Amino acid sequence: MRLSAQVLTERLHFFWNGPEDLPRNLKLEWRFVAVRWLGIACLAPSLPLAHLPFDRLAAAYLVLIVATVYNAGLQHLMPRRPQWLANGYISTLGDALLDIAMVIVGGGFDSPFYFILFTVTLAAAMRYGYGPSLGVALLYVSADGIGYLAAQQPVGAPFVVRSLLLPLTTVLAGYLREQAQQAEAALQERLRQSNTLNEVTGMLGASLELDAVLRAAVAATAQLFGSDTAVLQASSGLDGHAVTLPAPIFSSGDGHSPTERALESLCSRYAHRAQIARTTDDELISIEYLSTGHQAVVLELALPTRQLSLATIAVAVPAGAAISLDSDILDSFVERITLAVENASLYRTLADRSQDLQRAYSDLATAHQELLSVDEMKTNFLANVSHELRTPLTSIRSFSELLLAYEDDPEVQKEFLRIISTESERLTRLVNDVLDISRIEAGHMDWKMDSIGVSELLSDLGRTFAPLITLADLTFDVQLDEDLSRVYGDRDRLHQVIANLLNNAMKFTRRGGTIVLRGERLDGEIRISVTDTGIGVASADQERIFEKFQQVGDTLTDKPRGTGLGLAICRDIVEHHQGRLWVDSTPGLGSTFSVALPSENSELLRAA
Amino acid sequence: MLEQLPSPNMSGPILVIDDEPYILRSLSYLLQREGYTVETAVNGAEGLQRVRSLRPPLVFLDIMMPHMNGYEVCEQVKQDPSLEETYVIMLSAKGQQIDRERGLLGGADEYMTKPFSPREVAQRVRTILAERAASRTA
Repeated sequence: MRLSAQVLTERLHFFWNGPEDLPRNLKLEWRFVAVRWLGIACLAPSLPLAHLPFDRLAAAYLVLIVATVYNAGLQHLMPRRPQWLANGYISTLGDALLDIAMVIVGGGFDSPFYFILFTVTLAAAMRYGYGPSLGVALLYVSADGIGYLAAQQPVGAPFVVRSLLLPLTTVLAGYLREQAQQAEAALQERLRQSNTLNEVTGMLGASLELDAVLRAAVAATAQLFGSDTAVLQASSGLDGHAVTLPAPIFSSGDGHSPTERALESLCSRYAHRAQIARTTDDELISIEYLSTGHQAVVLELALPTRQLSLATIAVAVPAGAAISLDSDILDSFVERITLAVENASLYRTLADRSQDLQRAYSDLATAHQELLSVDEMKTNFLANVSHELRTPLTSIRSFSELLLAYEDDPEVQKEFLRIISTESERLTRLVNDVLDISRIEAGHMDWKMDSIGVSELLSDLGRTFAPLITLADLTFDVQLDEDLSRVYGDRDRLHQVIANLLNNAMKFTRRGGTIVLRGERLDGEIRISVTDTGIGVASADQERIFEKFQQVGDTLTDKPRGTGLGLAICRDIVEHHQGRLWVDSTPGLGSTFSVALPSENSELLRAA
Repeated sequence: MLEQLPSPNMSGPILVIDDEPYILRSLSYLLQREGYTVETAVNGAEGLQRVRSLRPPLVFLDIMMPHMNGYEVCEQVKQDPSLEETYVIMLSAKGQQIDRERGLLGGADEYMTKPFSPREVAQRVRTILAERAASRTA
C-alpha cells in the first residue's frame, strides 16, 4: 500500500514537473501539457451533457482526439527537440487552432464558451510576449471574420467590438508585461551591481599594502564592468617619494595583449595630462575608443585635497556595449577605490618615514659606536705601548743605578750590564715594531713591491736560520716544491714575516724538536708554512695571538720576550699582499703557521 | 753606595710579586744589599699564597700578571683581617692617573710607577719599616 502511494506520488510529480533534465525554459510548457491533459480529461466525459446534436458531438470528439494527438506529440518532442518549442510559436499556434475548432464546434464565436477559451489561451500566450499573443488574437479575429463570411451574414457590431477589443487588450497586456519585466530586470541589475560593488570593495579593504590595494583596484574594476581587461597606472608620487620614475602599471591580465597595451598608453596619456594640470572640475569618468575596436572607460582616482590624481584606471569593454552601470554606483565605486588607494598611500608614506627614521637612528648609533671603538682602540694601543716601553726602561734604569750604587761587586756588574744590553735591544725592537705597525696601519709604509722568487727567498732564510736552530738542539728541514712561481711583493717585509715565524717556532719548541720550513703550490696560491713540534696554541687563543700586545704562554727558553706585536705586524704585511696568515695547532703536539700568497700571474694581483 | 742607616726591622721578609724576571732581580738585589730578607713570586696566585704563608710586613705588587692580577691580589690581602699589618706598594708600568686611583681604591697603601729609582725605593722601604717599628713599640 505504502509502495503504491509512493509510486503514485512519483507519477504525479513527473506528470506536473516533467523529466529532471528538461530545460528550464520548458518547465512551464510542460505544465501546459499537463493542464491540456486535465482539460481533455474533463471535457471528454462532460461533452454529452451539452445536449449537442449528434454530428456536432462527433465533431467535438474528433477535435478532442486531435487535441490528444497534438498534446502527446508536444510531450514527446519536448525533451528531444527543445529548440523547436522554446519560442512558443508551435504551441501557441496549436492551441489557437484547437480553440478555434472547439469554438466552431461548440456554437460559434458568440457563445460564452468562446470567451472562456479566448481569455485562457490569450493569457497563456502572453508568456511569450507580443508576437505569439498578437498572432493568436489575429487568428481569432480572422476565424471570427471567416465565420461571418461563410455564413454570409452581415458583419455586426459585436464582431467589430470583439475584433478591436481583442488585439487592443493584447497590446495593452503585452505592454504592461514588458514594463513589469523591465522594472524587474533593472532591479535585478541594480542588485547585481550593488552586490558586485560590495564584493569588489571588500577586496580593497583586505590589505593596507599599496601594491596589494592597487592590484585589488584593477581586479575590482574589471569585475564591476564585467570585463577581463583593466589596467591601472599609479601616479609616480604615490608611494611618498617625489620621483618621476616610470610609475608602476598594474594589469588584470599578463600585460601582453594588444588591448592591455592600448589601455596602458591611454592611462599614460591621462596620467600625463593629470600631472600637468588637474582642476577639480575635470570629469573623473570618461569614455574613449581604442584602436583594438574596444571602448574604454577611464576612471581617474583624484581627491580634492591632492593636486595630482592618485592613479588612472582604464577598463576595456566591447565596442558598442552599453555601459549599464548606474552613475551613483559608479561614483560610489570610484570614491571607495580612491579612498582605499589614498589610505594605502598614506600608510606607505608613514611606514617609509618610520623606516627611514629607524635607519637613520641605527646608522647614527653605529657611527657613534665605531667612533667610540676607534677611540678606545687608540687609547688601548697607547696605554699598551706605554706599558711595554716602561718595562725595559725600568730594567735599564734600575740596573744602571744599582751598578752605580754598588760598584763593589764585580760579580754582578757583568750580569747587570748584560741585562741592560738585552733590555736596550728589546726597547729598540719595540720602538721599531711600534713604528712599523703605526706606519702600516696609517698607510704610510713605504712598500718596495717587486717580483720575488719564492724559492730564493726561502733558501736564503733556510741558510740563515739553519745554524741558529741547530745550535738550539732542534732539527731543521726545508722542503720546497720545484715549480714555485714568483710572487709580487716587498722582499724585505716577506723576509721579516717568515723570520718572525721561525723565531717564534724556536722560542716555543723544546730541545730535540723539529722545525720545518715548507714552500708549495696549492690551489693556484703559494703556500709558505713553518711547522714546529712545540707547545702549540690553545684553540681559544688561535685568533688572539694575531692581535696587538696579546702574548700567550711563556717562552720555554731564556730567549728574550717578544714585543707582542710580531704576529700583528706579520698579518698586516701578509694582508697587504692580498694573502692570508693563520695557525693550525694542537696544544702539546705543535703548530703550523701558514702564509698563502697569490702567485704573481694571478688575476687578484693584477687588479691590485 | 746608599747611606747607612740603622739596621732594618727584622719582623719578616719583604715579598716582591712580579712576572718580569729582571724586576724581581733588581729589587731583590737592591733590598738584599740593604740588609733585608727578600722573597719573590712570579704571578698573582702564587703571590697571594706567599703573602698568606709569609705574612710579610711589606709587599711590592705588580698589576699586569698572569693568574690573578695585582688588583685582585690586593683586594684579597686587604679583606683578610689577619694581614692588616701588611703594607702593600703597587708597582706598575700602568702610569695613568686612573690606574693609580684604581690601585689605591682597591686598598693599596702606596702606588709607584715604573721605571722607578732604586735609591728612592730603598729610602721608602726604610721609612715605612721604621714607622711600623715605632708604632709597634709605642
